[in-house]
Amino acid sequence: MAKQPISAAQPLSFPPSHFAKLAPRSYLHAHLSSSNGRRPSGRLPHEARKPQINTGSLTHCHGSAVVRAGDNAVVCGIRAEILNASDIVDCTPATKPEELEQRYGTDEEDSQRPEIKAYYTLHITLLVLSLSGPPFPTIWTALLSALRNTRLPKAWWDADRQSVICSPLISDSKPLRLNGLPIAMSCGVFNTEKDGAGLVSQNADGGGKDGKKWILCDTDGFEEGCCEEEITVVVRERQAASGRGMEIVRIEKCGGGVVGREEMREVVMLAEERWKVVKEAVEGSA
Amino acid sequence: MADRRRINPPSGPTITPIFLASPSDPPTQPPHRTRPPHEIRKIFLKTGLTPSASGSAYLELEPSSSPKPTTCVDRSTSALKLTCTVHGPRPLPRSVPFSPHLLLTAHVKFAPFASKHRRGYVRDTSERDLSVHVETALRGLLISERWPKSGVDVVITILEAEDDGPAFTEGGSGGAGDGAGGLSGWGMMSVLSGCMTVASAAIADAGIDCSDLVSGGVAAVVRQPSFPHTQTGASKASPKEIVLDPCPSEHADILAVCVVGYLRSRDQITEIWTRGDMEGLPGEEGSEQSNFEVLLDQAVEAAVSSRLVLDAALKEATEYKLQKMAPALPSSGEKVKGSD
Repeated sequence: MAKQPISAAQPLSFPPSHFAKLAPRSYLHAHLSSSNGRRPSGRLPHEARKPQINTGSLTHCHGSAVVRAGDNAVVCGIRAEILNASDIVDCTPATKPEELEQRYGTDEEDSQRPEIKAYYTLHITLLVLSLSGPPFPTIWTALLSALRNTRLPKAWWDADRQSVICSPLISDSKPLRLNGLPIAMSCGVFNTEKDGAGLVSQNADGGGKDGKKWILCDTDGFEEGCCEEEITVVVRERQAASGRGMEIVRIEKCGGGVVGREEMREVVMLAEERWKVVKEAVEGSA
Repeated sequence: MADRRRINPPSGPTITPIFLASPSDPPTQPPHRTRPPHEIRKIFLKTGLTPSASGSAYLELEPSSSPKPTTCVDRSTSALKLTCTVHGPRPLPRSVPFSPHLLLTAHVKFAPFASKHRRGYVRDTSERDLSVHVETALRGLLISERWPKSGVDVVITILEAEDDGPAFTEGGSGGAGDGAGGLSGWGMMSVLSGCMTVASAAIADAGIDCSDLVSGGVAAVVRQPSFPHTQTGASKASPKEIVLDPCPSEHADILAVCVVGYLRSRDQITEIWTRGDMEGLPGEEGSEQSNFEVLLDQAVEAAVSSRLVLDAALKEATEYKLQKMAPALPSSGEKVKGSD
């Protein structure tokens, strides 16, 4: 960089990246209250990012997925291993073979139930390669994509070898059957109401009184730092015969007191929109 | 010993599925080397994939054989996949005594799904061993006097490791496949070479002062009965030859491997690891060099080749950074419209 003479004084200015570091809340507020109302990332407040999903890239896994959404990157690898029923020791009640059988056992029409010799055990490992913003939605998408990608080899009990033998052919292997496709969305609430000192107000009458709030869908790391209130919603398609539509699987809300009943309804609607986008990405990757 | 940090499966040993040889398929040929002996595998190297870390890099080697559409569940073509993040330099915690130098710590960890046998979540001895090797290779690289009272962590995660040689039988029935067959674990050597290259790229990405870049190179003595050899072997029955960057699954019989961490500009070696029997190499006639030196020279040659990729990747990354920085420099006034 060439040195600039002091006499050629420039007006005090700094690039937007410095502004964002010095006064993040003001920076975000300046973006949101500008004419186009976009976030620093160029997205609209309700606009979510479409995750990039790659499946089946890990050789030693039965199912795997790499998901990137913004600066979040998560790898999920699923390995199926065989647990012989005779090897199960010191079970907690939840993992007793009989209980496992009851919960995950064969279908009802299978009247003469064979003796269970072994179970498939799925070892699921999730690695967060890069983290920026709420990790749960990305992790969840990675887990779902990897589960959808998983194929278990056909296995049978070989009495001669006294062990379980698997078929090496892909055509014999079976995918897992997933119960619906629940999809998570997180959003943050950027609130400027009680923000006397923290916010450099754009208005002449000072900040604090004309507080506004924005619901930011799928926040990134920078926005997460500016939001006190965070909501994670998981929705899926309704399974039962009670009709079509969406149902809520889980809602988690931390901090703040802005989001009431109306806003929550809006957030759930956004999550339903998001469900379509992510579903498309997950199904497109398979 | 109890691992309380993770949700663990029911206790009891789980075993990897044992596959039956399919009767319909012709027995698949084990992969064999199609590259010339003096060519290393293609390397994909990219920096800056983890924006939250101060420096990061990702390295991938191309799979050994061409990935043809296989009908088998058990794929044998694995490629090395490594990701490395660098955290720091950052101030040392108060509990650590004063240090006039930059303290370097390297952590190498296999992902549980990285190899044929599932790894645990807690670092085992081979991972600790690799960490020490990487640390040694990098220590000679950093100009550590410039960072007193600070520390830097290099974390390498192996997403996919190299196979440990032809110890496993392909599609073979029965319980073969535990790393039997004399010396195993040749894959570890290639992993170390990759670790050094990727760590060097990540350190450069973090902008930590270095005297040079370290690149890893591997050379091996192999015996290939069917290989059309031109050199005159020292022993008649078993022609041995030296190959660069061996892929353990491609060679039936690996006798010795040498891996180096090499600084090309300074012509220095910061790390050597050799294993195996180096007797009877096809050396030049009347040469004074010992077998070890012959092998070492070849490993350095492999390191020089991988250095080319390292240089290109860093050049590309630097150009990209400069490009990103350029519009910010002549900025006038605050720009509300940001760019991602």
